Amino acid sequence: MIKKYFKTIGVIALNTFRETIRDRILYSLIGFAALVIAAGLLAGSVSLGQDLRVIESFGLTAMLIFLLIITLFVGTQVVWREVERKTIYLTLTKPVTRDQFYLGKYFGICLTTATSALIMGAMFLLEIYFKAHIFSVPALFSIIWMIFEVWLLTALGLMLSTFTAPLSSAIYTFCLALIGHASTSIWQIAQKSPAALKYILDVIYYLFPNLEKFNLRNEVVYAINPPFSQVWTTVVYFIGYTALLLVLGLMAFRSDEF
Amino acid sequence: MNSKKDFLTSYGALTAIFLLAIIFLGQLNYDAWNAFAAPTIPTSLNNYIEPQPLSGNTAKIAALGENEFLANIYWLELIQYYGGGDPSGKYRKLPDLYNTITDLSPKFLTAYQNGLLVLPGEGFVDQAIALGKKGEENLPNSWEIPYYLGLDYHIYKKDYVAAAEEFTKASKLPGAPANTAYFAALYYSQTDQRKISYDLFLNIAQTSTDPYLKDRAQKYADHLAITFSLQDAITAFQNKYHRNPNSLQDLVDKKIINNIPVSPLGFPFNYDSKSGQISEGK
Amino acid sequence: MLKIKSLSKTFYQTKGEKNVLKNLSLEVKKGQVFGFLGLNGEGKTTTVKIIAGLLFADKGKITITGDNSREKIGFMSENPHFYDHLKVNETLSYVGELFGIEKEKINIKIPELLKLVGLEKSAETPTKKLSKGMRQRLSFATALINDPELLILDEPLDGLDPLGRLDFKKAILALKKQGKTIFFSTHILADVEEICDEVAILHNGKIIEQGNPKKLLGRSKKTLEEFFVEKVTQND
Repeated sequence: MIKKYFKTIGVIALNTFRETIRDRILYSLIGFAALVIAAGLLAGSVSLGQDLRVIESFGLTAMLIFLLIITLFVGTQVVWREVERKTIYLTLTKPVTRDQFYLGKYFGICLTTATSALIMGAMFLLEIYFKAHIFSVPALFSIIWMIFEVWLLTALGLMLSTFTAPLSSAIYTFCLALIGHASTSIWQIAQKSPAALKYILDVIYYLFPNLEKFNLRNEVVYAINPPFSQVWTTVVYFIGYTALLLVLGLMAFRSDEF
Repeated sequence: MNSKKDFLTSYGALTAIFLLAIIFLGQLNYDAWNAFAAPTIPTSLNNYIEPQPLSGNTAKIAALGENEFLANIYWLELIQYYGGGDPSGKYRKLPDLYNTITDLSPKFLTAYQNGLLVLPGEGFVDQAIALGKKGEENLPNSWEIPYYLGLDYHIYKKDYVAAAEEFTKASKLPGAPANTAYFAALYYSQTDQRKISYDLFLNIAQTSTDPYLKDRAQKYADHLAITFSLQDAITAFQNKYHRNPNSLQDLVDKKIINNIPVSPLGFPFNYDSKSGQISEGK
Repeated sequence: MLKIKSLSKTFYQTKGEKNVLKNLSLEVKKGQVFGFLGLNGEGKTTTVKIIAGLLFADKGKITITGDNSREKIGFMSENPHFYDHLKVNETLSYVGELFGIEKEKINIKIPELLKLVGLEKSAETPTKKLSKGMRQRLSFATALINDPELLILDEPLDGLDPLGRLDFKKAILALKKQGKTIFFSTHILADVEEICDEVAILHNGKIIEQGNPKKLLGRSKKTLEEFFVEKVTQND
């Protein structure tokens, strides 16, 4: 029974994955990302011997930007598109619960972002390998962390898209991604602020997803591995926050009518 | 039947030739304009744009966590700026750029080194020293920063004590070249800190594995030991005659010393009869 | 087999409330072919969507009896839409997998179904290239992939050409012979009389007439169409 429950989620996830993969937009995005990552070589060559650090920071930041674009434009639309194109009738009229459908969509998008990240990541690691003849473990770590980040943001976008239009959902998700990456600055500003403002900023800091936890890109440049205590707390944070967003999204989605 | 379609099918070839002619004329016009017309974009605008780096704190907020990425962007901008040549020849934004880069990426060693070499040459000596101090704080284990900072103190400030202190600091850090302590000792010997210099030379002479360095350091130590004994003789002279000796020969004449010693380095001992001090000089 | 008891549904729109269903009750017995008739916008699709779980009723209860009830329903929605990236056979295989049917069984079933609905030449066609009638046929095939006991079809005749309607009628009668229960909504009355054991006329959110079409018409010499119009105007 439980096996069948998850099998159905898997069928929907694979179908979602196939849908996004067969979408040509994704190919062009990944192609463009490859170009940008390769452009790091060019930028590195004019950096007075700082090639590696330039290639690493440019490549990783480019990857994050492209993963965010995929998340914002595919992740926030995926449920809305089903409703808009009425394909949701095909799935939901079968022995499929709302929960299975929602989770299937979520994991399908996760599969898409992970695949894109792995393709881009492989190109990136190869680039580093050919440049410096090293296999950069911190870079691999930071790519995995990046995947966690976009998975969390996918859950966020999906949740927002259950009660707003896809464009607003994309904009909100984008804003929350910006806030999430400004968390270090927000905390620093909060420390210097008067009590009332500090209270507001503290709420923002603790309530919104703290995406700087998933940022190992600055450490990669110095080949620093994250300390183990940080690794597992980040994983726990990721699982907890994502599960919370999924539950909230499910609660909204269960009462949606089509 | 659609009349428009009719026209196009019956006069299709003619229409195509006509359109091609128009396209060709357009291309001709463009080529002629490209080759002969006066440039429309004013060259003065194209020439030179001074970088406007954000302040370190603003940049950190604007980076949204991509600090290294933004630091590298500024690094590339700095290279373009310095390599491109400043028409007014002042490079006003250089110190700001180095500061923003090292605020964003506090452990960017090359940026400090590069700044310590480039900044003073463009007249930003104090900014270079501030950059060096910041680097020493952020990268306490890099011998390069105190080394280069010491050179700046020596070349641009003529401050041998500070230079010697920086070199001493550098000499204690891992990876520092063997001659760093030797340089520190040299700097001290140029000032009134000759006792420190003597200790340093003696230490190098005892511990160095480089035979040349060992030999030179021993000779410097001997040289300084002679200087000290000469200075003691001058003090004895002063106590006895209540005046400075006129020359070193005066010490021999008055039987305070037997003869004027010869430095193992072959340097003369410069004596200033006004101050009664021996100074190092060549 | 399917029992609907005092179902109510109100839509809240900017123009105001719209009571689509008011205390609707009906029962479909096992083995019946049940025609659910009504004008456009009367709430047929709303009823079907509530049965399917796409909409939630404000009041009322729906009971479907039989083993593994959810697994044994075949569904066909109005104006069916499919995933653009899937081909005809891939669509069927996707739906089959949602039912948890094993891959081998699906692969045997697909050609049979495509033959039944007359799409055997379009197995490799992307669904976005299908005409409206072909979509309707594919949708019918998806409704049959799990060998359902109960078929719920929303406007299955919509968009079919006369030949298609004939095929559909044949298929319905064949399914009836196999003992399946069929509930379908339609506003096209021409063929209903021949294939339905029972019809219900929905008007203003209520059932205004229900019974065997032949018995309903038995007393008069009217066609079902005339009977329908008469009843609807009477109840306005």
